[in-house]
Amino acid sequence: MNRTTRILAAVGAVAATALALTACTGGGRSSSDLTYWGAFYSPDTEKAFQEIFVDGYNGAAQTPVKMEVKELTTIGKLTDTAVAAGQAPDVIYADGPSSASDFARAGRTIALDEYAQKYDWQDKLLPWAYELSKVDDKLSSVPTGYGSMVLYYNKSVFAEHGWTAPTTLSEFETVAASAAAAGLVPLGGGNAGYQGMSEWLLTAVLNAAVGPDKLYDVLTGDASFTDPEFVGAIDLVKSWIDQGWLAGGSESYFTTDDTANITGLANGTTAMYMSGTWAFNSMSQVFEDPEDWAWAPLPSLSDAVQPGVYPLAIGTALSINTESKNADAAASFIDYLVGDADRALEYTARTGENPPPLAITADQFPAEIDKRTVELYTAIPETTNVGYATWTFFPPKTDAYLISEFDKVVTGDVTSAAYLEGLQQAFQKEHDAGSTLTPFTPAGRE
Amino acid sequence: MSTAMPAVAPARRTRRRPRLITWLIVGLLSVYAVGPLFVFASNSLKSSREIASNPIGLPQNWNWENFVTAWEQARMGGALLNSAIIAVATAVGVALIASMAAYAMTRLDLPAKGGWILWLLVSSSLPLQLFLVPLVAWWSFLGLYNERIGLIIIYWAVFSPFATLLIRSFLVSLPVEFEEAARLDGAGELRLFFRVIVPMIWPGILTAALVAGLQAYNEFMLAVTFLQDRDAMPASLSVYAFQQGFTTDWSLVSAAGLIMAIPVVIVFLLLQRKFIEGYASGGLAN
Amino acid sequence: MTITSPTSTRAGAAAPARRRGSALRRRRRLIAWAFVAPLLLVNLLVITGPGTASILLSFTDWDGLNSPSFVGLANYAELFTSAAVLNALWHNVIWTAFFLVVPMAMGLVGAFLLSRLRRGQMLFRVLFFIPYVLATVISAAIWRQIMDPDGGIGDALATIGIPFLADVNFLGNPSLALGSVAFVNTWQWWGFLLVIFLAAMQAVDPSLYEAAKLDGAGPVREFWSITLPAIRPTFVFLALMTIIWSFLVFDYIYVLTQGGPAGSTDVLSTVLYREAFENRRQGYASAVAMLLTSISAITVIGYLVLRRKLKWDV
Repeated sequence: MNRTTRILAAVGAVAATALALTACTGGGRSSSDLTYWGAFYSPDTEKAFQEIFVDGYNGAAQTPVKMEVKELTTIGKLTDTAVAAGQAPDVIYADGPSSASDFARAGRTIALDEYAQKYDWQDKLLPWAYELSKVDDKLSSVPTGYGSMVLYYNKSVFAEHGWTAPTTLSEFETVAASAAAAGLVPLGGGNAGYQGMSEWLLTAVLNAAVGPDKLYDVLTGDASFTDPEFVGAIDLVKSWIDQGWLAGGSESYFTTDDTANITGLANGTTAMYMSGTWAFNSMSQVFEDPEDWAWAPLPSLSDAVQPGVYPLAIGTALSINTESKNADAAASFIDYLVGDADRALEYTARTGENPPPLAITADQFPAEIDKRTVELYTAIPETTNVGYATWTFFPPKTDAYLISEFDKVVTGDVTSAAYLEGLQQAFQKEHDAGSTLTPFTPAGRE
Repeated sequence: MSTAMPAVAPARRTRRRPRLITWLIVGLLSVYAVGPLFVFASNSLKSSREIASNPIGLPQNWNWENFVTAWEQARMGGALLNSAIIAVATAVGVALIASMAAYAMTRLDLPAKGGWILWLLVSSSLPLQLFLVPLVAWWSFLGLYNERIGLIIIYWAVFSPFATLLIRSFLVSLPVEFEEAARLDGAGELRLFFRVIVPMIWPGILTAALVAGLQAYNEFMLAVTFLQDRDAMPASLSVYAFQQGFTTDWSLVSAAGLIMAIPVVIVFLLLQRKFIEGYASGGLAN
Repeated sequence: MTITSPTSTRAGAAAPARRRGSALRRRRRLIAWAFVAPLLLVNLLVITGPGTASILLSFTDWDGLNSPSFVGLANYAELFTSAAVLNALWHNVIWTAFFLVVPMAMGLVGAFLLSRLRRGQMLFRVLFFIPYVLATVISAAIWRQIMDPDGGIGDALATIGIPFLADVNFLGNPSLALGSVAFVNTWQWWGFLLVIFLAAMQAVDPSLYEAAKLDGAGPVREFWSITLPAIRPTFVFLALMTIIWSFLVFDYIYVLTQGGPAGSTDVLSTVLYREAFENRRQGYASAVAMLLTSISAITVIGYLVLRRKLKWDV
């Protein structure tokens, strides 16, 4: 290599290193900034959040908030790493009160009761959500979005085959059998790319087949996951898999993801799909005609449960870092997100995102909101048939077991009984250690 | 994949053309290597819905706007610049660190040679996932957390062991006469290193630098943990910006991936000449 | 570039006096340390330091949040009897065996053939290397589409009369998943091996080949008797790295199957990742990491012993 080239290389090396050094303005966090990590469903949602909440807050606040955007699939792990290393942001995200409770028990987040008093959260937030967010009787996180699980279907496809949304197990099986005969996948499902999708299905099935009453008992330690109702529910899912009704069979289960299911509904190759109400937005985007998709409450999957059960879920829970130097500002930002129903509904209208668990009356909904969203959020408060979403109400390790071991149920490597055995063991450990949350009492139990 | 070589042919003249079977095998390997890239290119032009129903065929409509969308949504302009800075700084740093260390291990009197190899290999066999927490804490203490140079230093540490051992394997087969002579001639060690050794193993150093730069360019886990600021993020994180909730928009991922890959291929093509020049004119012809 | 040719004797610099000799040696040793200092520094800072923390953590029950408490060898006892860990370990072994054979052979053969081409060598080298240039998530995306049971390669082949791959779900079938992921990783990996082997092969003295040709040796003989021995250091090194990396393998498995379906592609690092981040058991995960590292350490020690016994200068 000749001299010129070598000199050039040396210069290049020095330049690159210099660039790296000088250009690393990085994001050094100054303590006067209030930091918040957010993750969004899509860039439009992020933009709406930025405008409505971040810019809106910064317009009036003394300490401005700086939002750093992460991805939904990595924000949990990033937050965990950051918290463990003492580098967490001021406002800490968790995907539900369950995960947030881990932080609280370890002393990484502060109790929020004084702020709850100051901002009146106890009165504004729905009681079940408020109670759920407590650890050791102190408020540890604030829920900022709540939703449920429903059954999605394609109106034209249903009309074409003469089906109506099922409300009982036998109706469900009739539609499923008819769909299978017509060459459709009767029930969408699968966990490709994100193993946690299994728990969407399990939440729906457990609530619709076992029922909220029994779930309450099991979550408070008065019943066991190995009881026959649970075995029956898991066996039901297994029967769907064996018949090829769920995702088209056990192998397809592992290679079908959420988008594929929604696309299947839109294309008319999948008949029904049980998923969360966060998917309203995706449905409208994927369907060519956004009016063509519809949701129905979950059918009852056994005689023990009334049709139309709504498992309640909290999608995001925010807490305040113990080491934060801006705790007051953090609390006021959180209040900005949940305290004002109109602002929250404006966000929902624009993005289809689930609103916070506030007491909202039908007339508060803005005109531009999708009718289906209004139906959902008026139906839930009016009904007493509400249940428990697993990622919200199950303690963390039990939930992790629920998801990770379910794969083996799908492949048939493990029996329903053995699976539930393990689930009960995992739950027992957390129950004995006192790391379970407070589920609301089902109606008719007071 | 197995290859069966034909039996030895009768003696030929010195300059012979490659056999047909050589071309055949090379051709097959090319199809294997390049074929999927057509799937890649055509997927970048499909709409997200179309990928689900038509995974590997040609696109129905050629959605060139995917590239524009991907560019904007993932802020690829800034991201590519960041990637370039990080990759080049890593490559240069690793080349220097590794070649110096490899030289010390083979030619200079470094004690316990086997021990160094053991240490290098074992330290490159520690799974990175576990480092994240102690390293983040450590890096924040040093003020290197969320700084580009912080990530670069981590890359130097992570990619140097392999590079060192690679360059070492090249050095080991070099005869010692040249340096001995130069040393006797009174050359200083540094001068000896840069003027005599480096040119001799230049292809090896270039390969090691290229590999390190490439690994840094594509690396994800450390980048996502140690760079929080969106403006400092490299392109490898950008492809993760196309998540629609819990699933990915594969058409945009393909488009972004193509945008990411093209600069590297171009750089590689340009460097090809250097490789060949290094062999052709120099080497160890006695 | 030319190198000053050596002269065989230099009377002026005849054997230095003893005292000067040892000073010279000391100076050279110091210089050796100076040359290896940068590597030492970054490694201690980034790897050895946190690595030691990991070793210590493996004896605790740390969950990443609360203070760790010492549990002695409990983590190790658990992992040696854990079905998940043993299952993962077995998959790592299979993976290692596969990667020591298939991509290595492809890289060697490919490099050898390319080294003999005059025309087009550059083109092919670029073509073979391009897959390596792509990020994992991109390659995974490409192959996920190709392996799609509905409309992927299986169906495409069926339309031209090769039906047996249609309806095969490569990534969803527990018996096929590991092989399929290995296949995808190979597609990206072998070009890398080829480029390195090629660089090594091109440093081989051409006169050796000339001599062999005059002797009437064909390409196979040349390959076995000249090329392979000449690139032995590179070959051994890459084999060693393959073993170490095969136990560390993570990226493709995580992106394609996350260790599923039902653990059929689970390897030690996916177990580790799950335990550390989903089950919040950093202490236990550190113990799994120690298992991983010990396997590498044993492999390396084996190599060093072999090296001494066989008197390799590698």
